[in-house]
Amino acid sequence: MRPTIGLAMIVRNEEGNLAACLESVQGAVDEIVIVDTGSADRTVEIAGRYTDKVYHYPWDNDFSAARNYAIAQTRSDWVLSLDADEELDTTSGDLRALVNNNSGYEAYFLPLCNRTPQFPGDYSRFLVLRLFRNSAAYRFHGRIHEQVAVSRPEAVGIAEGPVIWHQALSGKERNRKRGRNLALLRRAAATDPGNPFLQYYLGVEWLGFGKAERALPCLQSACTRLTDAQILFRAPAVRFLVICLKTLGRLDEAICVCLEESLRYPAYTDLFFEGGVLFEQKGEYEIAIRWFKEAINCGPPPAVFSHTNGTEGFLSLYHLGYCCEKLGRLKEARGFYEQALASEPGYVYPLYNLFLLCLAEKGPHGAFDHLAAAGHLAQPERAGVLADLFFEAGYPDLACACIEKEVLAAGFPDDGVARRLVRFRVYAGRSEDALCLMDGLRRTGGEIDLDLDVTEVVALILKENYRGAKVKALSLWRRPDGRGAAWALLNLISLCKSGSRCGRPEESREAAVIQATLAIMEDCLRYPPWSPGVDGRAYGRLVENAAGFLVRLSPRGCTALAAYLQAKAGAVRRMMDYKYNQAGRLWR
Amino acid sequence: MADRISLCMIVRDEEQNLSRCLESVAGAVDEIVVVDTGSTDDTRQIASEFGARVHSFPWNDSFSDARNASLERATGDWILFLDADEELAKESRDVLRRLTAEGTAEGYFVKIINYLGGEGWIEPCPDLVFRLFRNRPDYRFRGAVHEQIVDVILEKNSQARYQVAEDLVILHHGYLNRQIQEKDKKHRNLELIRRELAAAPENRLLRYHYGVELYRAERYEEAAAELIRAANGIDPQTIYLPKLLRYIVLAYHAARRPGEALEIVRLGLGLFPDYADLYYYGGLISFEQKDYARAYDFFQRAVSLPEQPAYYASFHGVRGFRSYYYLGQLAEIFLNEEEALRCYITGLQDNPHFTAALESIVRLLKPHEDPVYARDCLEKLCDLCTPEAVLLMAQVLFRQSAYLLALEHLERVTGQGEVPAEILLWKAICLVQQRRYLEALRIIEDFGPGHSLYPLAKLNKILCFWLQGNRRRVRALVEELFALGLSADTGAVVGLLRDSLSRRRRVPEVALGKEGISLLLDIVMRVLDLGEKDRAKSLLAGLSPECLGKNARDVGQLFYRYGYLEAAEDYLRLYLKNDPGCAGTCFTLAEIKCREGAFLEAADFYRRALTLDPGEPRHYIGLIRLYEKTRREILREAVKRYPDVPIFRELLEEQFVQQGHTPADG
Repeated sequence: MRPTIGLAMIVRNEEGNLAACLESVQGAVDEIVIVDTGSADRTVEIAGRYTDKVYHYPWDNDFSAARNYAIAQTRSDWVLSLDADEELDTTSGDLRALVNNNSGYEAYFLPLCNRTPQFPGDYSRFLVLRLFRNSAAYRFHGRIHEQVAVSRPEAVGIAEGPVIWHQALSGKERNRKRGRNLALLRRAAATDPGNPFLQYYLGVEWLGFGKAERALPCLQSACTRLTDAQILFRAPAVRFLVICLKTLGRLDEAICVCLEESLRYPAYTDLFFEGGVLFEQKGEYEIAIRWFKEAINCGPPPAVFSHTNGTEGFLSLYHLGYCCEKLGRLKEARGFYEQALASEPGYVYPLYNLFLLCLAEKGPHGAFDHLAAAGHLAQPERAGVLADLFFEAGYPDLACACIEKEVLAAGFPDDGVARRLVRFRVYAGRSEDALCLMDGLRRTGGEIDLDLDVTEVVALILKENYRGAKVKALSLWRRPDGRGAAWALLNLISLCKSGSRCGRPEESREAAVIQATLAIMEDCLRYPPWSPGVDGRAYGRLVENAAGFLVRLSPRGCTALAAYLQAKAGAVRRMMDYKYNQAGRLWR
Repeated sequence: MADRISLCMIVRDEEQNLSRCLESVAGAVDEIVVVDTGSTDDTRQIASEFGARVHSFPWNDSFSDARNASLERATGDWILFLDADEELAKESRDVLRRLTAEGTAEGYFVKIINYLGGEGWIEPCPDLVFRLFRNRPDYRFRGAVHEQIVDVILEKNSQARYQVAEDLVILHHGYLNRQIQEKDKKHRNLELIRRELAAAPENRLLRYHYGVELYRAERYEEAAAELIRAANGIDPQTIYLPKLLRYIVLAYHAARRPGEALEIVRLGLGLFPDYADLYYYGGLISFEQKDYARAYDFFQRAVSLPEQPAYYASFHGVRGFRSYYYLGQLAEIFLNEEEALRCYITGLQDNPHFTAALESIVRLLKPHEDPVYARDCLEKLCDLCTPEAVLLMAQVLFRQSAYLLALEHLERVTGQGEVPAEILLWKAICLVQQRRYLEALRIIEDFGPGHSLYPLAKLNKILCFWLQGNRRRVRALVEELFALGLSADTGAVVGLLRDSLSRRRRVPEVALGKEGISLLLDIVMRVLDLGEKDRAKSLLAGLSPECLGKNARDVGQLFYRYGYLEAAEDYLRLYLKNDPGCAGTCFTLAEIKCREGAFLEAADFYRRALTLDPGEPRHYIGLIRLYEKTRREILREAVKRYPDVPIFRELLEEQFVQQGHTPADG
């Protein structure tokens, strides 16, 4: 008979996560055991939809006790242990295959991947012992960061899959959990000061709390005391130690750790990556390049090393590009950014650098042609990023082209893209096109946000349709967040139409009015005077009226305008510094 | 007893040089062996007078054979080898004795200073050569052209050690005042080496020489390939490696392969991080590529390097005036005239004969705008004690259209002795530009019809009357000039002068070629220099719309230079219609609009210029200055409008403090 697998979990207040977790194991396990340690929400109800084996266990500050209670309720031959904020990715491996084979293994390490909140492609991988025979030999130990005790290491296998995905916590929740963990850990460490695992976890939690100086001694002690037999812990401990030293600005010590440990683990990609980052921070770009190249040479490290996805590829490539850029080797830098983008399409950061490089090197039109030829506009996400970048750099015509060239050609874009395109078109001198698109959005029931409303009024002003503009601006007034903009627009309409202002906003609203006026002015200053058929005068009139309005409004308006001009000068200067490096100093 | 030294030489027809050479070694060597390969002048006799043993050796197309013939006859313990156009530096006589007495090496690389004559001055160019070695029967020269003995000695005696003795100095005058090699000699050498190399393809040194000869023959692609082959796998200790690297850079550069050249610069600096020439050429190539950031770094490094070791054979001035000149150019590109001036002055101090720097200094002093200030500066800077120096300065000033100052200098020269006709004509032109027509005409009348400058003199005579509006005289003179048989272009320009005074309405139909346009622009510039904007415009009004449109940029720039903004704007806008992609025109229009205080139009033109050519620093700087200027205006307006709010005044002052001038400067 084939062996059965039971999922054993402990939960508390997990109504947000639990369903996803239980869905993910459908078909992969024969039995689900859920032990609730005191939920006040709908957790138990949700659990009941998936299993009738829901138990209660009074919380006694001991994770191991609760988990072992859950295991005790499990009847299957094997136990799978998951947390509610985890999901099993059954496409990446088969639990049955693991428990059915005759390898003699009694337990398996499964890969656990931590998603980082900012970016889905950026995750870290650890190995965790989560699948084991349902026998008295496998029970949890430790009040916190409980582990399954392994009596016979040779009976534990390492599985490439299935992968367990661990969800990123929101910042608030993470800190709450950290606070709870830290309290438990400190108590445990006080009674068992020689335990390197506890030191490791303490270090990790302190680091997570942003207290690197407290994390340091814990991590140092963990690294010293953990042995190669405990590589699953020692490897991440070393990485956290490096990160900790880096946070404290002790770069040379961190580099020493990288050097030493990379000699010990020459296949450990992440160490080379970290080393590269450290040298990069020190401004030693040539050396950093060698480290990043070594990380890429290493390839993905063996499974026993905890690993951040991308250090063997796109992350290192991205840094390589940056270092080359710093050394003035721009062509090489461009190549590395392109490679990074090719090897992980979801990782868009290199696109920002690539854009700046191309812009500085080839100018806006050259940059556009280059990026288009490289195929970046064919991907909606990248096309959107590039459109924003071109717009910010003052080229709304090219921003439009970014979206229109491929994304729009492939059909009506999604609302978010369409909204942006309206704005780009208005300031590219194509108000008519913009208003058409806007109508399309309205018809399809797309959301019209405040910015879009403002943009529409500006388009009407530019077309000298002051009556229409005024009606729209008045309707803005009805939006609670739209009153500042409404004031600004009504004044601009009046000034453009008859050269006179209309009233003065209450002082409490002045800041919002100034901000809205400056934003309109900024956008109007983007219009491309080089585009054929674009009449710059309408934009010029609007800019002049906006400036005049601010000057006459109040001292605060003057200050804001002066600060705005200063910022504009600063932005051009930064571009110059970027492009000309030291030589830029010739002009001061 | 002390070691004896034999001087060995091979000579042919060296009566001009030989005595200088032999005088320099008199008493410093114990024996002189001269092998003559067929002199027909007094060479042999001069040699004998200095006590040399002269032997004849029939020339057989091999330098090595001839040299070895001299070695055969030497009896000393040491051989010093010199060419007739070289001499031993005075201070080195004792060094020679000391080195041979110490006897710690089998041979010495000594310093040679090559004097190169070029660009009107002499520049010393040091290098290392192997010229002093022990006299042993199996140490013999090898190679038909670039005869060598260093590697022979090493082959024969693997224990042999060489040393570098930079305090033993040979002065080489051979490159002065003549071409380094005549063409056919170059080709003959090339062929000889090629054959030799075919027989010994492994000979790295020979391949290096072959590459150099190819470079001299201007076959750059091949030169680069051979030099790269010579450098591949070379021992980094090789004494000629720095020179080899520089030749590769030069060859790639000349072959228009800047990327490869820069890569060699990078590799070379990895081996010789203090090699000024590589920085200099790296800078030069980056500059040409408009990579100003890198060019700046390179030149900065070049000027900060210490004295170069002799075996780098560093070119004169790469650590000084040459690099400073480019630093000055860079500063100008970044619109920093003060810094540019500083660089050019430093360059000129490093090499007072470097006219390019002087020219730039004069240009930056804007002598046509503020002659008094320019005169003061130049007097402090330059030592004009010889008539030649005064004349040179006059020439530079004239070229920069600083006619008043040029005239002052010319008057100092023309007061004394015979003066070339050309200079007199310049003086006449300068006088015209001061409206001193009578004096000018007096000079011009001296040019007879047979004189080569007669047409030009005549043209200036016409200008004198044209500027006074004398239609009759102009018409008559024009006819006279036509009678000389002018080129179509020149005739058309002269016709324009005549017709512009006519009261009849003209159809603008004159189309000029290149020559005519450059003549016309020269006249327009002089007319504008005299403040006659309307006359200048009337002259241009005769051009056909197409011809004017094509040249409106240059015309507009001239009007701009002389401060006629409105007219400049008209011409530049006209040009932009024909060529909307001209960044330079957009920039000048932006400058005009900025000066007029039209913020929006200025911003548009700056942004257009920036978009068309993002490589030009001034486009960024213009925009920055525009924002800052507008900010100042806003603050001034705020001060007026809200006199009780102190912050605006403070902000205004702050900005001025930052920029290092006072509010009064506006």
